[in-house]
Amino acid sequence: MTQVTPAGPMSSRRDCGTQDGLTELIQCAIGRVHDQQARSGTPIADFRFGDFVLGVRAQLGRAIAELTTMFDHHRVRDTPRTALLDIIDGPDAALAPLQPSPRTGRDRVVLSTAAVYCLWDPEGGGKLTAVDREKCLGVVWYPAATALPSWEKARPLIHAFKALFPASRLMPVHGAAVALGEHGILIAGGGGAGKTTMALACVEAGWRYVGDDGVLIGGAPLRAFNLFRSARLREDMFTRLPHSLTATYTISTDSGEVKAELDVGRLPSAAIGDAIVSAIVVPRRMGSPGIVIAPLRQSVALRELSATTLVALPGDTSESYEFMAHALRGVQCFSVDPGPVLGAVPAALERLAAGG
Amino acid sequence: MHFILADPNRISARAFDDEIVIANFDTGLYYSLMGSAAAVWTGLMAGISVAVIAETLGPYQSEDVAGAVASFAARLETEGLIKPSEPYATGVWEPKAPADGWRAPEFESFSDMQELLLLDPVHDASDAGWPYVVAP
Repeated sequence: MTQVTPAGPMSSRRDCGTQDGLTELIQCAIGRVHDQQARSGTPIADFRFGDFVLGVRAQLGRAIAELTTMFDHHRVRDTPRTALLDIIDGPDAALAPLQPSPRTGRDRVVLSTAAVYCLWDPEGGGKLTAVDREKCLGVVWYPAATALPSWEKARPLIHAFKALFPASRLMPVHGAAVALGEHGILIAGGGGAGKTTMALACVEAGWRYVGDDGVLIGGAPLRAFNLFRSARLREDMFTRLPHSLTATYTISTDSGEVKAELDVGRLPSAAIGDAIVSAIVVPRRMGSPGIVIAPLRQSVALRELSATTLVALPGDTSESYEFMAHALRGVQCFSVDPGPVLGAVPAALERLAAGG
Repeated sequence: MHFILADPNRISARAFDDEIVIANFDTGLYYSLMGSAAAVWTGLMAGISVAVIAETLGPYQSEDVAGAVASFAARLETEGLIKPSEPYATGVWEPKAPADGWRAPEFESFSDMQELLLLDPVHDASDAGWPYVVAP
C-alpha cells in the first residue's frame, strides 16, 4: 500500500490521479491538502467533545465563514489533538479526482472502510467529507459553495464526526437531547415527529440543552454530548415557542420548509452541556387530551433512532447500528404524546430524566 | 434443510427480550419476530434444520407445523435475510412454549428507513471507484 506522509515534499509532489484504488487516491489527496495547508501557515482551532479533540484548519472563504460558529463554544487551547480536519472552499486540484462523475446524479455515494471514510453529498453545491482513519486526518471540501445550505450551518462537519467515530468512540445520531442536572433524555424520531419542539419546551422550562438534530452518544453509562448549539424550528411552532424564537439568527427556506434557525446560545437563560441518558423518548402525537407517557419496546426506540441516523449519516451501516443497539441496552424507553399543552411537557418528563 | 444469515455485513439480527429484530441494510426494511417466529429464527440461526425445528415445536400446536415452519423459512429467504447452507455445528436451542398458544410464524416489517432512502438515496462505493449510477 502506498504510504502518504502527512507533511513533506514527497507527498506534495505525488500525482494522486495515478493511484490504483479509491482508498489510496483518498489517502493521497488528503495528504496533499494537509501538506499545502501546513505550508500555508493557516492556524488550527481546536474543539473538545468529551475526550475527543478535533482540530479544524480552514482558510475560510466568504461562503463558509460561519462554519464553526455553531460549535465554537467547544473551543480549547493547548490540548492534545485527536484528529485534524482541513476545510477547503472552492476548486482544488488535489481534491478534484475525488469528485464523483456527474453520472452519479444527485445521489450520495459513500466509501467506508477501516482505512478511509469518504462521502460525496451533492446537495447545496456539493460537499466531500474524506477522512484517513489511520492517520486521523481529514478534509471537508465545498467545491462550489456560493452559500452554505441552512442545514450545513446548523450541523457543520457532522459527517466528519461520523468518519472519526473509530477515533472518538462517540457516534453522532439524529436526535435531540435535554437534561436536568446530570441526567437527561434522548429524543428520537423521524423528521416532523416533534423532537425539536419537545426539546425547546424543556429548554424554556430551564432544562439544559444538549442538542437538536445531532448529538454524540457514547460511554457507559450512556452519555449524550453536545455538538452544536443550533436548533431548527418549523413555522407551525413559532407561536408556541416564542421565547425560543428570540434566538433566531435567520429564517431559512432552502429545505423546502420555512424554518427559524436558532442559536440556543443566544437565549439568556439557556445552559448547554452533556448528560447521562436516563431514557429514550419517542414523541407520538396521537391527539390525546393530556400528556400520555407509555413504556416503549427498546426495539422500537432503536428503530426510530437508527433509521434516520443511518440515512442522514451514511457509511459503516452495520457497525453504526450495532453500536446504537449496544448503547441503548439498559436504557428505559418511552413514547410520549405531548397533548395540547406544550408547557406541561417538561414537568411530565422530569421523572424520565431522573431515571424513575 | 439448514440456513445461515444471508450476509452478516448487511443483515443484523438482535434479540430484545422475547422479540427478534432484524434489519436489512440493503433494502432498509426492519422485521419484528415474536412468539413462534422468534423461536423458528433462533432455531435456524443455531443451525437446527427446518425438520427438527418443526418436530421440536410440534408438541406446542395441533396444525401442520412442518408446513408452517418450511413456509416461514422460505419467506425469510425471499426477503433476503437467510440463505440455504450445508449442515453446520449446532448451537444450543431451547425454545420456550408460546405463552399464548401456537400461531403460525409471521413477521411484521417496517419501512421507516426504506422510505427515507428512497427520498435520499446513498450508494456504497468499493475501492474500485465511485459507482456508476443511472439516473432514474
